[in-house]
Amino acid sequence: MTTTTLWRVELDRPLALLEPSVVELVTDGKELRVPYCQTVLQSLLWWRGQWIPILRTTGHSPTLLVMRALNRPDCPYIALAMAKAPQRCTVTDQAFAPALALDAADAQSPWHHCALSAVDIESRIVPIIDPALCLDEAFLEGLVTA
Amino acid sequence: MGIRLGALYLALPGDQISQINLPNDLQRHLNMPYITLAGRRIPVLQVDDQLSQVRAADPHATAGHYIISLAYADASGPLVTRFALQVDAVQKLAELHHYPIPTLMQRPNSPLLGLFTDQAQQQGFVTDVQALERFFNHLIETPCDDHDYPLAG
Repeated sequence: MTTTTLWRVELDRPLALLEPSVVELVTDGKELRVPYCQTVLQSLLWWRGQWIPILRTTGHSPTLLVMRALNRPDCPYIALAMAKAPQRCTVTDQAFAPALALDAADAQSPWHHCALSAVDIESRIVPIIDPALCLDEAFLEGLVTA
Repeated sequence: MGIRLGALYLALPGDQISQINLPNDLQRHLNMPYITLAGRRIPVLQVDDQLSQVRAADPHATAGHYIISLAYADASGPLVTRFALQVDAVQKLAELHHYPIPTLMQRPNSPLLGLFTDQAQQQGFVTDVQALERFFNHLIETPCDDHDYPLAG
C-alpha cells in the first residue's frame, strides 16, 4: 500500500492539492490592487521578483498559498487566498475516489471544473485541484455566479 | 509621463501628451466640456481611480485638476487628438521597471497594459493613448468632416 501527501484547503468547501502544486504559504505579502479586473482576480502578489495573480473567493484573507500552474507559461504561479492555513495530510491509494460522487450542493461547485481527481478525507469526497485549470475563463465566471 | 487620477497612477509615453491645460481653459458646448487644440474642440473625459465610472468631465468640479490632450500618430503620420482627460497631476518619470499583468485577470478592454515601479518604489500602471481610446470608445465617435466635435451622445 502506498501513500500520497496532499494539502487540504478550506474555502467555502474543502479542496485538496497535490504536493507538487504547492509552493509557499505567504502570510504578510505585498499586494497590489489592479482596477478593472475579473471579480475574483483583482490583486497581484509581489513574490520572488514577480507579480502573480491572487485568486480570492472569500472576503479579505491575508493568508495566501502560492500554487504552481504547470503547463501555463503565461502564468506559472497563482496565489490562492484563504482564511485558514492549509493542512498537510497523507492518504492511502484506497482513499482516492474513482469519481466525484457528490451530493447535489457539491455537484454545483465550480471547483469541480478544476478537479483532477478526488480523494476521501475523513469520509468526505474532496476534489483535488489542478491550479492550471483555475485560470480557465469559464471557471472564473462560475466562481462569480456560484 | 506619469499622471494621477486619485489613487490611480498611470504612465504613458510623453509624446502622446500634446497639450496640458488648466481648468479655466475648459469651455462648454451643450453638455459637453471641451478644450481647444489647433482650432478643434477636444472633448474632456474623466474616470475614477477604479476605472469604473467613465463620463464627460464636470466643468464645475475641475479645481486642482489638469486637462491633458492625448494624441497619437495615425497611419499617414500627423498627430491625431480625439479626446482629453481630466487628471489630478502630471509629472515626468525617470526610467521604470516594467512587469506584465496576467492577461487572464483583465477585462477585455482594460486600458492597463502593464505594471511599473518608479524610482520612489511606487507602483503604477502602464497605458497608452490607443488603449485609453479603446476604453473610452463608447464616449468617442470617429471624427467626421462635417463637424469637429467627435463625441458620442
